[in-house]
Amino acid sequence: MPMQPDAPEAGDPLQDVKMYMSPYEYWNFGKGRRYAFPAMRRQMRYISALAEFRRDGAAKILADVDGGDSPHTPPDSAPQTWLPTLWNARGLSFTPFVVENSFGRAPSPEELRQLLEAGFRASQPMAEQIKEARFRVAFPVADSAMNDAPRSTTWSADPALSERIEPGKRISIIAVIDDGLPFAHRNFRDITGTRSRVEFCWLQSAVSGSKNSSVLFGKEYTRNEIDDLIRHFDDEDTLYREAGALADSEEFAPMLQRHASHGAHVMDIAAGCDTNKGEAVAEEIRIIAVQLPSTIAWDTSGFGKDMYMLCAFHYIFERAQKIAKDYGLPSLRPEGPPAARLVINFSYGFSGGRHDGETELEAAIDQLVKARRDREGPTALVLPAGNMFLDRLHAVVEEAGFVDDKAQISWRVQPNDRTPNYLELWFGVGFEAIGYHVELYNPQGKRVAFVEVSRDTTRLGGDDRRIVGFRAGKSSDIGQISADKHRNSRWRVLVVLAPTEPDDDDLPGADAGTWTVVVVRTKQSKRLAEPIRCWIQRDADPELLRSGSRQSYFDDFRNLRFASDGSPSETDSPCSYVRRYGSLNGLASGATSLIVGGYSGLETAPEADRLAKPAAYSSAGTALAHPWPFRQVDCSSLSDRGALTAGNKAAGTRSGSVSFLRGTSAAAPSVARCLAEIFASKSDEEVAAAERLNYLPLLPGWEVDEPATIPRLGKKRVPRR
Amino acid sequence: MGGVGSLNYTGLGAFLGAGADPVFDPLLVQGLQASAQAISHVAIDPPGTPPPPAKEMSFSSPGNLECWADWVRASLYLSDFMQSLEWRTDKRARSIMIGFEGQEFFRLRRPSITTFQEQLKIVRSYADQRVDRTAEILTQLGFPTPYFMMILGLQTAPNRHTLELITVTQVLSAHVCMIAKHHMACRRPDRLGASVMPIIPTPAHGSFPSAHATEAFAVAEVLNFMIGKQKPAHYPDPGKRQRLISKLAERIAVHRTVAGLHFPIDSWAGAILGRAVGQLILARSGASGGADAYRYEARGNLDFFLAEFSKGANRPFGVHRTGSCEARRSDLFEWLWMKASKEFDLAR
Repeated sequence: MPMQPDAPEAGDPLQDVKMYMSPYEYWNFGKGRRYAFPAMRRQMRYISALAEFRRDGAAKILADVDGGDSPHTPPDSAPQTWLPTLWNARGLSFTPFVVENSFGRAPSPEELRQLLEAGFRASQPMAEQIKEARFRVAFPVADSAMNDAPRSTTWSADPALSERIEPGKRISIIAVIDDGLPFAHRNFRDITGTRSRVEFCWLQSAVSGSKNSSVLFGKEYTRNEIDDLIRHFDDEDTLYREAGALADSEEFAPMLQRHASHGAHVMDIAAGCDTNKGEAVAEEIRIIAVQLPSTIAWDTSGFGKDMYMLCAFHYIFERAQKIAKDYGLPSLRPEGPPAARLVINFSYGFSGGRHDGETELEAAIDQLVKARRDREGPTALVLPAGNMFLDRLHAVVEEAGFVDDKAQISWRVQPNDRTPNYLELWFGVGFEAIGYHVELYNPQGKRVAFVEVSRDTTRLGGDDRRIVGFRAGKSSDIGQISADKHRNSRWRVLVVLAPTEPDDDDLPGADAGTWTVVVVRTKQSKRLAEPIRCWIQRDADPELLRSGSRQSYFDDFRNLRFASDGSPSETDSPCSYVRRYGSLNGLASGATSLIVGGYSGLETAPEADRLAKPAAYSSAGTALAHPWPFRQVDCSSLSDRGALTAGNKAAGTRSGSVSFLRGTSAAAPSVARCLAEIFASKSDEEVAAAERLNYLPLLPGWEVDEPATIPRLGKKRVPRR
Repeated sequence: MGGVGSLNYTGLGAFLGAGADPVFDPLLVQGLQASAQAISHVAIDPPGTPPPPAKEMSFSSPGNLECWADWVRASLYLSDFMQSLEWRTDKRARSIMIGFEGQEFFRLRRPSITTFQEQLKIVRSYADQRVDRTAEILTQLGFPTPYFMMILGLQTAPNRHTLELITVTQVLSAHVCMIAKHHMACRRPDRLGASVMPIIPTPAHGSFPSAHATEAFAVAEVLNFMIGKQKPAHYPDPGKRQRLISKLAERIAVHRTVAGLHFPIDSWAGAILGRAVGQLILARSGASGGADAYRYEARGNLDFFLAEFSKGANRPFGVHRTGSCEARRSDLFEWLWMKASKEFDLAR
């Protein structure tokens, strides 16, 4: 359904919204919508969100959440609402859902609130017990991807599989969440080349194409269907086209049409076996793959994707349960259902976020993984450390940085940037920043806005917050500054700037140049117990997807960028607020994640990787000298083959082709692969003993107790695939 | 530029001047003259000596082709083929009928402008592959012969007749395609959509059909026949070679869409035309009997795919089989075919 332009605005459109609306939603559905990513501007029929909610007496009466294949029948007045495939677990306090926007145009913020509230309640059993809910809105499901009456999957187990598995090995699962997944690639087949090891593959943004789909949006391919496709088509171009895998509902050119894709590379390292190279095929390791919507559809803040990512985890858990049941696996927990050990490789990341495991998505994933470990069995979540070590996206404002109760940081925004820029400042957990405010100065040195770090008493309901828009001269808003107590536990100041070169050239852009953010406090204000940690959201276009993004960064002349030999400096400058340490992936800081850094190998001698150096870009937790209360890099693997040969080598999108991928995304799957192989053979006792450390002790590799590299590479270097 | 750009003003393309001896430089001419003056005295006959008996060349014999310069043979192939080609247009139906020896083998109707506009969306979606394909696009501005050589392992000296066969197929295809392009007079993607922005100059001829597609699929037809005919097989894996050749032809055609020069329906029309030209060359060579005749009605919402093209008649894609077109042999082409065939004979 094509949408009309914004609903009419009157004054501040969100002033009266009573539900929790975070500053990202406020910007993207309010003044910033004109600058928002394409999906948000075009399609608005199926609004999707992630809800965080609490039930009355949560401990005892939380009901079973439905298995996911059929939606609840809502009361007549409620909007049409759907739940995606959900893993059947009690007591979860996050859920993804989709609600139909019946307005036939983009909803006003108040309409959006009503829709989400009513839609969410209609989607939940015993909704009357739900007392409070926060929503994190995602970008809408495209009309052509939506399938409003999913049936159950037609998958069936391969009856002959168990005969082909070596004694002593058990069926385990590796799941890959990525982009551009070549699910019919030869490297994911068995030794005969005729049977796929991919049991399930879900392309979330593929055109649904069939009334008979087994997922709420996109397309699912079961092993049975993939085997059929392999039988019918030996030309893989034709195979993927006939399978509908190249029809993307967002109308982006599919990554599978390229020579190389992130997903092909990652999935090959995690689960590929090239029999032409004499590699053995581990038939006991079964594959589940989920392709997220194309990254170009996402806002540069990372806003808009949480729902899709959480859906991917639910789907993997649910389908893993089917695999365990139909392959007749034993239960791994007292009175638990049949279960398989599961490794998930999630080579994604963003630079912003709390970095304490408590962003909505991290908390939701953590909760899911913990629940599966408790009820079903071993569940590993492998994430890359991130590639932002040298990108100047992280800064720290320390107590010592205040002069006359002011501390300032410089933020350089690039010209010719067609996407918005976001800067987050996070106060310490539980810190009440009474008397603090944050001022924003434009490149000409003029103060354009400020916000008090406190509650605006006129904004009712939800978490404490205060949101201010600002303009350039007489134009409409070109940005927003806000303070909100995120998930009621940590104050965040968010500065949003419109693109410097908006797609629509009738819209005003923000000035390119150095913006200055000043934290100001009164003499009476409490001193900082822990520093204010700042992150700029990633705003680059790694896949040449024509998003027009240009990365902004902290610009401080005291930050010495190069060492005396001319190489990029990999140490923090003592006087600068810009930090390399602390640049860790903002998606990886949950308690259940195994965080993988990247090392630059020694080309000719894999066994010498013990001595390898960190790849220059590989992000880190804080340096050992500045203790960080949260997560650190656990281990590392190869992300560059050598000092002069960038990237790790693995498959391209078509069988027989090769691609190179540089970054910790290419290191994480080596670790995931190791773990999956270990899961297929180790005893229950050994696995259980390693669970507390997210299975790190099970991994092979070199233990290197070298203080200089531990924050970058962890204590263990896992050999390359 | 473009595939036919390599034809230059004579229409002989790479053949122009090929095989001709070079013009001597003045110093060499002086040197030759001095030598002639200095040594001729030993070969002077006494007055009244009758000339020794001398032989003639065979009259009108294909074997003489061996003695002619490459460009002369090319000129002969071209005249031989084109004398049998005929065409007429129907202004009302905006269509062209192309025939050979009095039989129609290809009929093409000009698509409406809205059909082309519908195609723009597909053209734009291919632009994302420019990062992958630029090297191929730039090295296939002219005839993409090295790409065929790669698959068959051809070498310049031992495979010179096969290379001549490939080149003459390309040259003929280009000439036939130009006739269709001229009458169809269809505008290029960059004229209909501002955001196409091709990465190489758009050639100054019509968009529909694509000459690159015509040439590539004509060559594929000829080479695949050649590979399939060798008994015992020259290559241990002839089936794979044939599939690679067809896949390459598809890729060459699609590069032009990626570059922003052609619509997918241009590739369709070109590929169908090329297949027929290839089959007519095979018939002229005495290798087969004739060409399959087709009619093409472009479908604006559809892309071009080898798998669909290979089906032959394909109603959903607008490809209709209309019959067959026979062609007589010509000793010129038979000579070339025989020479090229021998290059795949290990026992020669």
